Amino acid sequence: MSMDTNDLIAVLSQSAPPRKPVSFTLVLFILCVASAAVTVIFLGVRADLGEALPHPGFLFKTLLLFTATMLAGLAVRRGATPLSRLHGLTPFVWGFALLLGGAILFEWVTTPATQILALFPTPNFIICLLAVLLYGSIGVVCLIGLMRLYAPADPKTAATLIGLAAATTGALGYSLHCPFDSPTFIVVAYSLPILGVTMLARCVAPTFIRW
Amino acid sequence: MLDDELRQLVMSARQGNTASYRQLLEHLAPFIRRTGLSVLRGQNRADMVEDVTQEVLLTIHLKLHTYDADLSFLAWVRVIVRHRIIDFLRRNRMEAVSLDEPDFAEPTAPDNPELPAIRTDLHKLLGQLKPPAGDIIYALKVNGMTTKELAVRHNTSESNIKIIVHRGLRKLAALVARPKDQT
Repeated sequence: MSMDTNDLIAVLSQSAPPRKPVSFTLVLFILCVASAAVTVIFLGVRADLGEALPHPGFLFKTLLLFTATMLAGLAVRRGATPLSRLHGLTPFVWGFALLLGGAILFEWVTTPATQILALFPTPNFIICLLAVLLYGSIGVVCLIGLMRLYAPADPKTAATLIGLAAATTGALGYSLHCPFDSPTFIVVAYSLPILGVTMLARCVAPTFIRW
Repeated sequence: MLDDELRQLVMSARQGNTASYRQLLEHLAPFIRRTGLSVLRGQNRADMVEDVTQEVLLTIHLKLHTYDADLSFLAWVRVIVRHRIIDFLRRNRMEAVSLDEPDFAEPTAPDNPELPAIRTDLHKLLGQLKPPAGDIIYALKVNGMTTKELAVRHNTSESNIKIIVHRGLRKLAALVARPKDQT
């Protein structure tokens, strides 16, 4: 650089520092609405939505996915700055894991195993895997673009969180179509593509979000 | 200049006060230069210190929106400086250096009247570490003692001193990064 540092300071200080870009919360909300809209248009809402709405199983599934999306979104936001504050989320992550573990335990105690396992060899299982993978991958591209405007403390962690947030957002949107509310089914059928998108983002995204 | 004053300048700059912004950058430039120099001297490339300084200032300009006002501004600046210096060394194919424990110069002059207050803050922070980590870090980083001398003084090995310093500095970084209401 041939410019004098004092000249650079003069040039930089002539204008205010750049404003904060669009927030992750807004982009994740848009992604969630978009995945829900695509689900409704191309896959349709679950046939028994009217009956399922007041059912605790449906409400619990929605709450679970919503909480996962919120947590992942919060983590992405916190990991997007040089002074990462992810440690503050640990109690919430444990709380979420306990909630999920408790739900699975309750299901296996109260429901016959054959009934739970019968949910897996169904077309919905495959559709769930593919839809969450697709929604999540599109979300990853959008979040990479946004993360480039930030300065993540650790690009690898930020990339992982991008994948997690994009996939959970896609899962929440897709859940409108999914007719199964079983916690075991949610853990397996939703976690697999979420894990896939997260690993994909962890491998690919760091190159693009390095600052 | 203390962290709170720098933070005030950031807040003012964010509201469009260009004079505050200029003042902020002018305060930071010598600090960045000193830190850059301490690393580049080891690479025999002290001539590149202005390039590093300007890169860091540009990054601060572009990424200032990522600073959270609840946290220490100096801690934020240190991360930016460390990140840019490592990137600069890599791009220029210089020897990789560990900046995990950088000997960052504070943005204050030695005759600064605020120095006693800074020392008090430093002692408070070091006092939060498990003894004798605080004493060892102070002796090593401020008084300039060597790890060998400290090993003799504390009747332990040099590698143990290094481990204590490493862990202590990590703990300090976490304390500094913690929001004010939690400290």
